[in-house]
Amino acid sequence: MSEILKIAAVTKKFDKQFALSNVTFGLNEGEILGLVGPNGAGKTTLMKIIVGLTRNFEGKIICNVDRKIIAPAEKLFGCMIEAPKFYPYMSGYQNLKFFSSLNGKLNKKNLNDIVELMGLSNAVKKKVKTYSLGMKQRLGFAQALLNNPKILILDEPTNGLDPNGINEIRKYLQKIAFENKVSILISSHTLSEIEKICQRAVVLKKGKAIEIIDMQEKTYEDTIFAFETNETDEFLALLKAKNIVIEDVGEGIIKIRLPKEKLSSFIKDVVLKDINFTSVYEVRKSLEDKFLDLTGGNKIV
Amino acid sequence: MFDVFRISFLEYKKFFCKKSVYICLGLFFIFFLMSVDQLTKSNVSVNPVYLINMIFNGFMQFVLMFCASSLLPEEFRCGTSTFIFTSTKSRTQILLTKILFFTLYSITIGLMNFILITYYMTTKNLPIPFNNFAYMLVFYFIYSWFIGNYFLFFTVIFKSRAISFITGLFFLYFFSDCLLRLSQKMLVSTKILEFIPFYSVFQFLIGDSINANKIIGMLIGALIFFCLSAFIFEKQDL
Repeated sequence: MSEILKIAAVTKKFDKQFALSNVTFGLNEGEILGLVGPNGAGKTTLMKIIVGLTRNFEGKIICNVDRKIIAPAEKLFGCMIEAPKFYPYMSGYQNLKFFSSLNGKLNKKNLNDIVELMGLSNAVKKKVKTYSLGMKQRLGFAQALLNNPKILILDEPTNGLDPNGINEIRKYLQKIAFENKVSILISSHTLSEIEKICQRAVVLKKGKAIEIIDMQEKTYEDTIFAFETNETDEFLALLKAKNIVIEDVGEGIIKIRLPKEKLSSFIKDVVLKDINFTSVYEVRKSLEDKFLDLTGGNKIV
Repeated sequence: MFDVFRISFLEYKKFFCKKSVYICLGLFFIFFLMSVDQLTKSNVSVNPVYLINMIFNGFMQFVLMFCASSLLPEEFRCGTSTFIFTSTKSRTQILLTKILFFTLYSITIGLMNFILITYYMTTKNLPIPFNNFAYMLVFYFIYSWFIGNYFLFFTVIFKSRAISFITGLFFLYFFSDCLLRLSQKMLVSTKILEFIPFYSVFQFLIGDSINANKIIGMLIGALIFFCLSAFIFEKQDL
């Protein structure tokens, strides 16, 4: 996969405070990349820099898209940053027509397809001021998808959507990323959502990209094994002797960190020491666990 | 460039989606007709066309200034700036569409003036002054270019309709008063002052004749304010 967007050493200061500090990562063609971090980590600032709303920053945003492949009625970036807002005195359809026309010749078919896809067919002729939060979110999403963008930048796109809506949007994003090779950068506080949809996730903390987690290779899942045993003391003594990292000790459950290939030899040791255990299983760390580890369990997520 | 004209027309259509526009128009027409009727009944020996222009322009100058102060802040107030300024059009192009829309809007006001005068003259069996109509169109076209760009400059800085309107109005009166005093004291030749838009902008309103110096001054003034606005706006964080 070729890198379509490169964020190179981006630094942004507000007064004397660093909002972003030397952030570097790339977005591949057809990839869905998550951007996670506690409130104030710099996610929205970074997205605003990428789409060109924020212009005073250090570093570079390098876009490796051949502009010739973008048709006159298409656009490079589609974005939804912060809560989407529209002209309240116009209908949803009039709003979409206006924004579509801004980017080139109005593509009515594209517009109608998106309206249908977002489940707005019945509401689109009504004035936006009558819309609920969820409907505005759908309209915002429709706006971002207008004119077939090559790169989608979405800030909390599932806010205010019902589970069905979230599911539909997730499927659609996966479809356009896979079939149309649209690259998507998505931020969300719903980490399970990021885990389901993204191939990688960049963790931001206090303006720094502290880790890039690869979901597909599951490298973020440390190999942690849980042993269920009644002979806790003997088990802990063995772990100490073998110099194995203890992750957690619960009631009758001991979690240890161990390379997968060493598990069988460790089990042999346990058997040789005549320590009884009823079961052993691999503990998978969720993105949320990993996120909390990395960000120090920040409670303002 | 064609795109900029197309988007200006879209802006124009968007403007007429507002219910408040029609309410204001209706109220204004009623108020205006009543005022003209009262003035003509009071046997004042004034040319009715001059009278209508005085009332109409006196009111409309503030409407135009207020509208110019809203051109950009409306996008920030509605929250649509994120969509507008991430489109394929540059910020300068967007500013240009706003100014072109404002010109269209001003010409519509010029047309309103013509409709009112035609209505009034027809009811009084007087000849329709077409030369006044041509004058009004030129006047509104040039006036809107200057006023639009002048207030746009303040909206780019403040992003607020109210602050831009008040600040713009203050400096407009301040500079125009200073220049008027200079001319009264014969310190600077009127021919030179005519090139300064702040000097001629209010003379336009009182029906003073338009000459080439004033037109050039207004157009250059508008261009300077547009370039300044575009230069500042292109560098701003939104």
